[in-house]
Amino acid sequence: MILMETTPVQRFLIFIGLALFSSFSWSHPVIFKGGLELQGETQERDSMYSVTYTVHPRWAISAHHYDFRESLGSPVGKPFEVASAQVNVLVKRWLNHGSQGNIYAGLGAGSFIPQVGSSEFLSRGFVSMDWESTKYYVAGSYLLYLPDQSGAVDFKKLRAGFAPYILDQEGLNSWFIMEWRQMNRERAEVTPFLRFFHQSVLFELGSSLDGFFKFNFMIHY
Amino acid sequence: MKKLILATLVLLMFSGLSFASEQESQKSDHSHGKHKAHMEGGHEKAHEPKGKGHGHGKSHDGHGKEHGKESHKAELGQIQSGNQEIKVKGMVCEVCAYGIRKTLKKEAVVKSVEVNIKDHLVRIEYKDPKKVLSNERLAEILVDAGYELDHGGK
Repeated sequence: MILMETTPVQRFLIFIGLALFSSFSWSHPVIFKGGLELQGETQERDSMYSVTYTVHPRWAISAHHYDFRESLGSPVGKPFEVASAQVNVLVKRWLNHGSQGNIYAGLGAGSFIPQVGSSEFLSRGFVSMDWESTKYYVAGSYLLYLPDQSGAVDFKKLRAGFAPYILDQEGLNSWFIMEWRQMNRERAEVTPFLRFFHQSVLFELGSSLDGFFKFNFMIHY
Repeated sequence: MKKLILATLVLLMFSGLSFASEQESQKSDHSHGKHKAHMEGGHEKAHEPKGKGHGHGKSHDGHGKEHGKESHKAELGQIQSGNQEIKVKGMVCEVCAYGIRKTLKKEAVVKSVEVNIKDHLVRIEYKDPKKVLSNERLAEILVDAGYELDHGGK
């Protein structure tokens, strides 16, 4: 992997470059001013939870916890956890009459905690891009963990979806979403999701093509 | 190859930063020039509605008649007494519109808020039809929620 072969300076430059711009994040890293977002993604071998507070319409602060529970498939060969804080920035938003597009980036730091061995300082960053209308949605994100000593861990995610119906009043909305997700050079997972949302609550239920159940949620306050 | 990747990232980074500053300057021009010419009232004040030529949203004078929720739902998008309907650019999902709804509900003059994602409309019902939010305040609320008024959306 390119990141593993680079020098620390090159890794840092790639990290900054990817974090400040590029074209892929996690959904809605910046919401409305004063808004609080709880978000989670959980599946058989790993889970990711975050709390985000939007300070300004263009930036937010967030706390994250990531837990990889298996040795098999772990990029560092053992289970590990990551606890970190991050600043998220809305780099660019396009508002159109019936759609919107966004580019977000974020930089942060925290602790990389392997199951065996001592904790390490960790830098993290992400870049993401999404475009959505009332009927269609596409998104891509790149998330990078850079522990001080262990190898880098990254997540690539691409999503596309559509709404089978559009409500003209408030109610339960449904979407079909297809997700492609890859961690480092592991085998990519493809997961169809059913997304439901009403007002400030969104959740997704999915089962990967390998048969692993997944559950994601997002709540705004 | 690595140099190429680094060069590309640096170029993209500068593009991103220039996009952001361009957007900021457009916002600044908008609020100090053209936008101001269309606005009335202060940031924090509710003000008396003055009829049709009232900016981007549609404010409606009326008799302050109460309508049931079902009636509002059925007629969302139509002119009603004491209500204001605004079109929001880029408002495409209910979760994203939650910030608009929440901030509007905090305003003392607002009784209720309904969102119509399909037509990108927000409908505000006021407690007193004579006291509505200024367009300036509405624009400010939308900006804080990450949106803007739709000046000419279809």
